[in-house]
This record gives sequence, structure tokens and C-alpha cells, in this order.
Amino acid sequence: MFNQYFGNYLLEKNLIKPEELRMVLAQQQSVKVKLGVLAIDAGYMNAEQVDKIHKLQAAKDKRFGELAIEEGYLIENQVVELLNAQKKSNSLLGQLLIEKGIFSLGQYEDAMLQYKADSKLTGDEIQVLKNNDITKIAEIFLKNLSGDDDRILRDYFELFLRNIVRFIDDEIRMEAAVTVDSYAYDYLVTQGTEGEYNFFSGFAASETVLAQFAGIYAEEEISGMNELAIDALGEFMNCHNGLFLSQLAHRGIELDLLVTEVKKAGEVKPTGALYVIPCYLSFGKIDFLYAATSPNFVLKNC
Amino acid sequence: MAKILIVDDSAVSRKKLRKILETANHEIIGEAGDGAVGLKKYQDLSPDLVTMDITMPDVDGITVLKNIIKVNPAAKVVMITALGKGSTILEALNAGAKNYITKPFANDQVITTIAEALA
Repeated sequence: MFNQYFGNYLLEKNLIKPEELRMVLAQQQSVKVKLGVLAIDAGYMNAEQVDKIHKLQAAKDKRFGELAIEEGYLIENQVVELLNAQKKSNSLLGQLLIEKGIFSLGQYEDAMLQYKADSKLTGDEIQVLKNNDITKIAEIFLKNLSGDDDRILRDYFELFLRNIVRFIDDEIRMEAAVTVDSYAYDYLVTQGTEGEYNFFSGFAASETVLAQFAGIYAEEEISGMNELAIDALGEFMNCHNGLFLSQLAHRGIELDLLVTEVKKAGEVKPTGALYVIPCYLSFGKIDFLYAATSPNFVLKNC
Repeated sequence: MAKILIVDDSAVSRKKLRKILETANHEIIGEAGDGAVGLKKYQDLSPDLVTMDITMPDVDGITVLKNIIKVNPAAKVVMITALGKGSTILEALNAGAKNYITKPFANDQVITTIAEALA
């Protein structure tokens, strides 16, 4: 997941071309990350030190970790940590950028340092993204919602994130939640609940993005908002909400699900706060919507 | 290998379930997108087992289950639900359902539950 954030940052800063990023992201599944890149990512070594170790490796035929300890750049615990991290693919983007000649080690280090400064994410939060820890990732982007009343929203969004990663796209990037007075949509997938606690939830996007979303879930090519698309979107929402309501039932909150709906060209006007969390999938943007009370729907004048 | 009828108003859900059941070498002899058609197909096709979605428009799955049991008290019906609500599942089991499966489908759970219902 971290690769999505860092890759997007490199694009926004014009440090990389879109076709270059597409190429390295496509290749990252089959490449094993090198310890030198991991050491830079972790802040344990700088590019000059890594470069020196690489040169020593060529001369002495020893492993990176051994040489780095000999030269005093790493301690044994750090080498163990880096070796464990090597199993994950978080730093493959960086390695591929270097191997493809898009960045030098120094340029990669500079970009990573600048990203850490510009993103306003703490070192721990960046590590959470690298670890793909969904519970903690949801907390990062909902940290402005920390009250007890927001507990259900945080749990709901965490589950939504898990189900997106599970069924649709594991390359998701989200931004912090914002509250809005109203929200205009092209298409909105929603499902109401009834019982002791009412909440409104759904996700909105363009027809093209939702058709692709539906196609992935249905495992079929879908080109527009046809009957199969509506069915697939409704089923995803139904399955997701079913899982969430089952979680609530374990907490003693019994709710029932209403019929799923796919609404076209309208506006959501909440009676209370409406939260919007922008989520960027590999094929487009969806907005996750949530309100603690039922909103009103208004049809736009076409 | 059993002859199975799938009843669910979602074509996507029917497709996902068919795929799992066929990998377990069951034969899907029919599908129905609503309860009324599901009951008719049950009577016409005489499947070994029916998978029945609980939440369907017009005629819900539990009503169809009760009608199937009236036709054949020994009928094997496994309920399908997105919401594992205790009271609804209990109602279905009391009405004669053999078991239930929750969505989203977990392959192992589907195959095992169907095998146990057929035994």
C-alpha cells in the first residue's frame, strides 16, 4: 500500500513519468528487494554508505549485511530486521526505480526524505503503510474522528477497506476523512439499515469506475452501468454490510439490512455530519460516504 | 456428485456459487432468480439439494423453503444469507432447512456445508 502513496507523490512532483511508474509497478511482483534499498528506507544508511558497500561486495564476495556491520553502518539487529522486511514487497518500487535507471541511489534517498517531510506522516505511520496493517491504516486516515460516537464509523471503514483489498484492488490509496454539507454524485451505491441504530453508508464514483469495480467483483468484463453491473455492486455492498452487521450483532446491536440501491445523478444532503473518504484504486477514484443518520436524497436537475 | 438447484436474485451470487459447487463436482441442473420460479423449478427438476437465498424481493427464501417442504418433507435445502442473523437462521432451520451458508462465500465452508447436508 505504501507504494501507491510514494508512487503518486513522485508523479505529482514530476519526479517520474506515468509510463515509468506503470512499468515498475507492473514488475514489482517478481523482484526481490535489496538490503541497501531497505536500509535507506529505514533511515539506517545513506546512499553513499550503500554505494560503498556495493563496491566492497564486488571486491570481497561477502553479503551486504556482513559488510555493513564490519563497516559500522549497521548492527546485527538491524540486519535481522531488514532481512525480515525483505520478504515483503514494500521497497520494490524504490529498487526498480534504481535498477531501471530512473533514479540513482542518491535521488531515491532524496525523494524518500522529501516525501517523509511533505506527507506529514510520522515515521511510524509510514511504517504502518509499509506493513499493510489495515486496522492502523484506517486509524491514520480517520484520526480526526476520535470520539466514541465515531467508533462505528472507524470500524465500518476498516472493514470496507479490508473488503476492497480482498475483493477489488489491493493497490488502494486513501486520503483523510472530510465532513461535508452535501455531496453530489454521478452514481451512488448504498444500502440502508433499520433497527435501534441508523446509519447511511455507500460509495460513489463515475460510471466508468463503477463499471470496472463491478466487473472485478463479478469476474466479467462490464462496460457500463447495465443490469449485471448494478447486481454486482449491490452484491458487494450487501456482503460487506452483512459482515458489518454480524460484527454489530456480537456487540448486542441488532440491525436489519434494506435493499441495496444504485442511484444515478443525485445529491446527498445529510441531516447530520456526512463523512467523505476519497479512495484511489488502480482504475479510478471512489468516495466512501458515511453518516450517522439517514440523509435525504435530491435528484439533480438534468 | 449431486444435482443442485441454485435460487438467488443475484446473478453474480449464483455464478460465484456455481463455480464453487462445480469444482466440488456437483452438477448445477438449474438456477432461479426469484422465489416463485425457484419453487416451480424445484417441482420440475427434482434436485438433490437446493441452495436458497434468504433475502429476495417479492417472495423471500424462507417462504419458498416452507413451500418446498410442503411438496417434499425430505427436501434438502441450504439457506444462503449475507446477514448471519440468529433469529432468521433459526426460523429457517425450524422450517426445515438443513443448514446455512453466509456471504461472502468461503469455498471450504460452502463445500463442507453442502456435503454435510447431502449426507
